[in-house]
Formats: sequence, C-alpha cells, structure tokens
Amino acid sequence: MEQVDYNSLILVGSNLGRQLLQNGAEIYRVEESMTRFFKAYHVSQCDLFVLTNCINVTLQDSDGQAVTRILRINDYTTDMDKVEKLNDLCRKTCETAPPLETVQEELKKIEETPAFPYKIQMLGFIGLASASTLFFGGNFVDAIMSGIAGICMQWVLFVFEKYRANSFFANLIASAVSALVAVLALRIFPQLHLDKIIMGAIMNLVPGIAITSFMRDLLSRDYLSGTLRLVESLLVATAIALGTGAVLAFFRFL
Amino acid sequence: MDYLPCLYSFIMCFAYCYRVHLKGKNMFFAALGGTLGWFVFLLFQPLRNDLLQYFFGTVAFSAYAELMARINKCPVTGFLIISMLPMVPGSGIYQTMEYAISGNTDLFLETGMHTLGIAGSLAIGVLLVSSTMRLFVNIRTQHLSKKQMGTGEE
Repeated sequence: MEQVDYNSLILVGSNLGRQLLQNGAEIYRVEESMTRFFKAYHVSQCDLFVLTNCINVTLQDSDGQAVTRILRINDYTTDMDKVEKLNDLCRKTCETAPPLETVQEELKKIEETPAFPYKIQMLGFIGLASASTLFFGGNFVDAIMSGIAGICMQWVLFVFEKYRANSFFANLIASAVSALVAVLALRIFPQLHLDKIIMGAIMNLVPGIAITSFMRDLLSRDYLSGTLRLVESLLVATAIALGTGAVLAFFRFL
Repeated sequence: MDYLPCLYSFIMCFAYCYRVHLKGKNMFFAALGGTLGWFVFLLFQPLRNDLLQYFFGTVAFSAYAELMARINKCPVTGFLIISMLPMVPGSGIYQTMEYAISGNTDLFLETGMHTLGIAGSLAIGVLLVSSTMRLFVNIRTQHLSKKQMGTGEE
C-alpha cells in the first residue's frame, strides 16, 4: 500500500490525541487511540509518550526517516461528550482508514461542539449543591441556601477561568465564598445547619475527576501521570479545606 | 431504614452530568449508577464498618459502569466519574477541617485518617473491578484472535 504523507498524518493524529487529553480522557486511552490511528494508516513504527500535560510522538517509516511532534497541553476541561465522540471517530477511522482531510474535518467539528451554556451549567451547580445538602441530612431551607452558594461559586469559578487564574487559587476562593454565603445565611436564619450547607456546596469542587483518573492511570502503569493527578486531587482538597476554614475561623474569631 | 438518600444521590449525579458535559441518555444511566452505589452502601449497613460498606458500594457501581460502557459502546470514564460522586468523602474533608480550626488535634488526625481510608477503599474497589474486566477482555480477545484475525474491542 502507498504510504501517506507522514507530516500531515502526524498533524491529524496528534490533534486527535490533544483533544482527547484536553477533554479529560485517561493517559492509556490517549496512547491507545493514537497508536491504533497510526496503525490504521500502516505506519511502520510509532512511539508515544503521553503525560497529563504533554504529548510526544515520533513516526518512523521503513527507510528510517522520522517525524516528531511535541505538544504542550495547557487548558483542560472535562467534556465527556467530546471524549465519547472522539472515541467513536477513532473506532470508525481505524476500521475504514478514510482520507486524512475528512478525519481532520470531523475533528474540527467535534472541537467546535458547543459546551452546555452558562445557564444550564448553573442548573448543574444548583442541583448538585442542593441535592448534596439533602443527601448529607440537611433540610429544604438548607438546600436552598446551598443552591445560592452554588450560584456564587459558579460565578467565581467563571471569572477566575476567564482571567486564567490557577486552579488552586480559584478553588480556594470559591470555597471561601460558599462558606461566606453559609455563614451569612446563618446570621439571618439561626436555625439552619452550617455544616450541611457548606458540605453540599463544596461537593461542586471535590476532585472526583482527578481521583478517578489517577486510579485508572496507576492501573495502566502510567505511574508518573497517576502521581501528578494524585497531587492535583490532594491540592484541590487542601484548597477547599483552607478556603472554608479561613472564613469559618474568621467568623468564629469575631 | 431510610432509603431517601438514594433519591438525593440520583439528583446529585444527574446534576453533575451538566458539569462534566455528559449528554443524552447516558446522563440517566450514569446517575442510576450513583444511586446503585449508595443503595449497596446502605444494604451493607449491618456490617457496622463503613470502609467495607464503601468498598462494596464501589464494586457495585464500577461493575455497573463497565457493563453500561460495553452496552452503549462509550468510554467507561464518564460513568465512573459520575457514579462515584456520592461516595467521594466531601463531608470527611469538611469535618477534618472543622476539627483543625477548632484545635481538636486528636479528632483532626482521626477524621483525616478515616477520610484517607475512605478514599483508599474507593480506589481498591475501582481497581479491582477494572483490572478484572481488563483481564477478562484480554483473555477473550486472545482466544478470538487465535480462531480468526480478531478485531480489537474497546
């Protein structure tokens, strides 16, 4: 079979990997998808090294000519919808090996899929905060207050993301704001449960994603990435504790 | 026994789908996984050991997540992230912090260790199910590829 141009192949392949990694896929999924993609186009040898924030890939043809690309990934989101679509695209591509232009177009289409708009995401924040408060044993008024804390939290996170603040700081301030809302609510309605409101609101920040992926990274022997994610989840937990703790300690001192 | 938290955990998980952008019918299935996990947690309450309860709950929802991922042909990650939410020790983090600022060192250390223990039993539960599943898939694909040039499955 005639070999495809390795330069454009590596562009499309690394684009696929980048999107997977950016949208919250595990390391082994990125490596496996890219390997399968390159194998589908009959690359004689491909070597990959993926970390949580970079991708290194080298393709080598039968004459020993090599093409290398290194990608640095800065922004992450968690978008399971895109991961699903990319997974689907990868499976189809590996079965039929269509021309690279169509794959590139499909990738672009996936990249441009709109996320949930701000207002619908707000529904998520409120629902998660209120339901968690009920889950931890709060009553309905607690749940409403925690929903309000959720709205404030979303706004803080949104602003911080817009101005590219680091996530440790963003989590710290967001949890501090939720604690502040809870404390103020308690001043107005003293019969509320402070702990239940805050617990419910901070469930929005708890690093469930980092915990899940760190275990799955360790499981597939990506120890380095697994450790990075473990550190990330510990940092987020610390930020939450510091943020709420600071506000609570301050008001206790008053 | 009070099973109302199962309902709340369903709403929790469903709302969380909006946060991680899971769309379509998978939202419902993923939220159901969270409910299942918590239901199993409550079911094992007679054990009087919440680390074991967390472990069994985790095994239940991870098995469910692996099953759903295979049925719907999509990555298991989304299901796992969402179903795990009721198990994540948010209240543990809060209580640890609470004891820390009130200067109660003994309880602070105890709760902190307990929270780590919960995270550990979650980890072991997910690892156990995923590893077993992967082993099973590997065995099956090897058998298939012996018979015919097998097609790899996700």
